[in-house]
Amino acid sequence: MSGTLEQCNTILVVEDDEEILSTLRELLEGEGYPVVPAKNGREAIEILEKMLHPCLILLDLFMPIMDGWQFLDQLNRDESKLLTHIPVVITSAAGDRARETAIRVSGYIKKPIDLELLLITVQKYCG
Amino acid sequence: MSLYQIAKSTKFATSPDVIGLQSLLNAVLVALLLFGYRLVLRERFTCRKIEARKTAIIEASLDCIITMDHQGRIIEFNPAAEKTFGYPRKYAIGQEMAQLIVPPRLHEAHRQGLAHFLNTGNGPVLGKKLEMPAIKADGTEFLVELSIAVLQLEGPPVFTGFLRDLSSERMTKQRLATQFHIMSALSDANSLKDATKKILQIIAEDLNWDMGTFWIVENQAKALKAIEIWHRTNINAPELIRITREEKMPFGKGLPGSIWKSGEPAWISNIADDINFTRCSIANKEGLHGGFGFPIKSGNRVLGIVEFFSRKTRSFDHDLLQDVTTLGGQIGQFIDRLVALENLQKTIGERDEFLSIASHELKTPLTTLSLQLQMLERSLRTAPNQAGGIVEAHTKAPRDKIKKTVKICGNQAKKLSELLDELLDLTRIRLGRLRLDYTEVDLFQVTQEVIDRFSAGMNLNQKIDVRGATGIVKGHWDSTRIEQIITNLISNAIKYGEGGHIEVDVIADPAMQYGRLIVKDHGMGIPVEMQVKIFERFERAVGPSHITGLGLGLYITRQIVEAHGGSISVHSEVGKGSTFTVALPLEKNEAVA
Repeated sequence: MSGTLEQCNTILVVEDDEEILSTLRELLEGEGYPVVPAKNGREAIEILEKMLHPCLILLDLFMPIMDGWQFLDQLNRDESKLLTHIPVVITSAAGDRARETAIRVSGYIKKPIDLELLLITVQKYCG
Repeated sequence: MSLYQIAKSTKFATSPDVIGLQSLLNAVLVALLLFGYRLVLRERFTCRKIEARKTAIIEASLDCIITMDHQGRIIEFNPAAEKTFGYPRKYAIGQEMAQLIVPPRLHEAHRQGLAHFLNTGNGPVLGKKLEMPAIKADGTEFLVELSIAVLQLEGPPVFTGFLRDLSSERMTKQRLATQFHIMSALSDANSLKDATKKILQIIAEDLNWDMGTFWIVENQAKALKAIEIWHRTNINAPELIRITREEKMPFGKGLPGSIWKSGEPAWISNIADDINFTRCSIANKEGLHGGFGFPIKSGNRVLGIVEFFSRKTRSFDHDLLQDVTTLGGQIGQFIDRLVALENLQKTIGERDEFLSIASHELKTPLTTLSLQLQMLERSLRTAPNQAGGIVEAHTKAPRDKIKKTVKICGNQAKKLSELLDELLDLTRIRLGRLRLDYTEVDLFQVTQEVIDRFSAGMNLNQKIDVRGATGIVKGHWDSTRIEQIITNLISNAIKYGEGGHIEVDVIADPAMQYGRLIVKDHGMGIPVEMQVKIFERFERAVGPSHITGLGLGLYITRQIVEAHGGSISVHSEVGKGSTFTVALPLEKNEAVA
């Protein structure tokens, strides 16, 4: 694992819908959290390999190329175990499947996203 | 000496009285003689009549009547016995009964029983009804009901056995039971696989067959495929099982193929004699010799074939074939019901999956819409509350922010509306309510307009090349729906084209019967097996998590094209891209809609 050291309150947002991604970015950056965007799981993995630990990963599930479930599997296979400690919160409209997956991670915010809940969650992990 | 001679020898013999008496005696004597002779004749006649009646009874008896002497040799063998055991009377008479009709394992017991009776006069089996195995000329063992009577007149005793073949009675009961077992199994079965396994096992075990195969007609391949094979654990036929499992049986070939062709059950007494049975040499080698099969039918349609083999050669059984014909119809009805149920479950499953995709897709624009509104609301809530109202109190920057929010929200509302239109189209198509408003449409012009709209939002590296000209390809179509078709095909080309350039051609065929819209991308392509399915409801060439949208686009496109009397096709190669071609009739064709 090598790369530039990111600020400790950086959030990795993994989301394929451009409108949602830019809205989340606008919101979170407005609250003082730098956002690194990724359009799918593979982009997110590449980013994680280059930068050191975001304080939080906000993860969509249905995405092209590498979906959220494949991303989580990849994350858990990380031999260095450095990535497995990064909190992941799922943001998805996938209903039951998202709820089942949420057991494996730190949390789940269902879409449409409740803004207050999102900000509380972000504060919890990123201060 | 006669009375006449006695009278003649006396001294009165010559006197007239004596002569008169002598005449009288003579007459009496003749009368007596005649009477006696008549008595003898009548006696003989009566005896013959009784004998003939006895013979007729024995001959006409439906039960076997076999008589043996004290040495155990057959002295009577009636026609019922001939029929049941398969020996002619002439051959049977004089044979040792044990040797002829008793299974070898019971020969010794039979002989000992006879010797014991002759020595002691005691026979525990005499005068009782017994059930015993017997053996036919062809070696088949079967069960008989037997009663033995001993006749002791002058000289050594003779024994008459009355035998009734229980096998047919048993068989009828057994087959009724089999039918019942199968019906119960069918009513309990949840799937075709579950049912076929049970059917094979029940028939084989109840009716004494050693191996069974369930073949299903594959209409596309015009062949039968074995979907289930059952065999007794002591059957070792690996090669026959392998070939049956792996090879498809063409129409008319082999036992199942010929049953499929005739639609009737078939019997093979000995596989070795049946050249039409393609697997005969293997079956023979692996010790299977008898066989039969019957069709599974729904009406006149053959849905499948069931075949059975046994180690023994089996003589033709007409009753069994009749029974299985009925059974084949009942199983056929069951399969029809099961297929209908499976289709229904599949449809429900697809609908459930579609609903979950639809809800996910609707929530995507809703997420942005809702987040933007919450952010706006929050910024207003936290803004300084000065006199003159909240919004007016803001500087230029928040006002821009509001404008931007409104624009984003407007776009998301439009996306929601488009998704709902797709859902409504789906319902319209399903209910047959897709209405077309015909006007004159220039296909190239509409295509150009759609492309212009897309080009505005595309990245600079991606290019759409369009070839054609206005005024050439014109037809009477529904302009909104034509626009929808073009939009769908081009948005798919962008979505699946992986950034490569897109080529669009608008041409008319040389006979000027059809206008064609050809959209070609150089993207991921569509696997052959998916090329038909993509035009069906809820189908897309990639998994649901990979591409956004309802998966209805090509289905709706095809429905609209067909409602116009046109057609849509795809040519695609994985990794090289896809070409969609829409052909629309240039003549007004409102009747189709």
